Amino acid sequence: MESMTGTWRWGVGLAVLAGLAVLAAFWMIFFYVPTEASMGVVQRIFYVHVPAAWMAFMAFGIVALCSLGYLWLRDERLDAISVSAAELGVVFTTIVLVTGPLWGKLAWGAWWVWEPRLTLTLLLWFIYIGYFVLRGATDNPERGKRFAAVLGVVGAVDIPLIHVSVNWFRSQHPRAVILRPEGPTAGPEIVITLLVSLLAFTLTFFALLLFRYGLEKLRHHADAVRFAAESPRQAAPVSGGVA
Amino acid sequence: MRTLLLLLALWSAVPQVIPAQTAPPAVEQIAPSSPLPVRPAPPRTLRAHWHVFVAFALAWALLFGYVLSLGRRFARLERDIQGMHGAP
Repeated sequence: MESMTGTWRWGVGLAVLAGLAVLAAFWMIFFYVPTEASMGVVQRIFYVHVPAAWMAFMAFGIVALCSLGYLWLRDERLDAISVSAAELGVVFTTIVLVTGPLWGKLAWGAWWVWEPRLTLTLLLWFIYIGYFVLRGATDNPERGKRFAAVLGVVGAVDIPLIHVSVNWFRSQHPRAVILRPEGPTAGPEIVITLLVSLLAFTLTFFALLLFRYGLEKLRHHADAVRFAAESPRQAAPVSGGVA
Repeated sequence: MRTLLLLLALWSAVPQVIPAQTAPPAVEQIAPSSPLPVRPAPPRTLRAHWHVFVAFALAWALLFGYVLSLGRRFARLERDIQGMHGAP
């Protein structure tokens, strides 16, 4: 329980920093950055849409790495981080899938276009919904964790595909404006505002990840208490815990 | 009633406000988007502001909803643990 308090304290600290960064980002998005010439005010969705997409990629990257570690070491902490990051990945991908059509309707004249980047992002969302379905699909929780970990590793292949899809295929989605070998093509105000927004989203992401990880530790603790209550002569659950 | 009249007056003032926004003060050009034929710039209407508002509102509502769900799950687990400790 000691480590749970530490996780909680770090989460609260990061949440406070995230709140400050969110306020700064809001000020920059609505008062500092100039209106983009070709798309107008709707381009401001960019400052939520793009950082949310980067957070989703980072979340599923963490899922892939920790799932790989879990398959190798069978460390329950890695599984706890995986499931926490996967849940956040679904939240941030949902933000991407909700904000994108609101921008696309005015920029392209359509809420949704079945073009490579959008389709692959929707596929990513379904893969990680499948991750949770798989975890609960078997009677044996350990087997469910293993199956989900395999999907977590395999599903991450979609992330680089989403990134390169705008260059490899004929795509209606705008190409990268920041992560380009020859440097960003957007103006400095746009780049700075995006970076502040990205900082706000990153701090929010890690604060939520710590809270979700703390919840997972508490769940393991509850399982251990329940196990001890049901079989008083046995000291600890067989699978161990994450605390 | 006075609030409603005030809102109606503000709403009727909107068409006069919008044309002033058609020429943005500062101009930033984002990346050339795609090899597909370039569509004309979207009309600068109040609709664009609504899309921005809804996008931001939904994004933060999702995050707050997630925080609330975390809080509810925490509370339920702590109740369960206290119940198990209190159980004979």
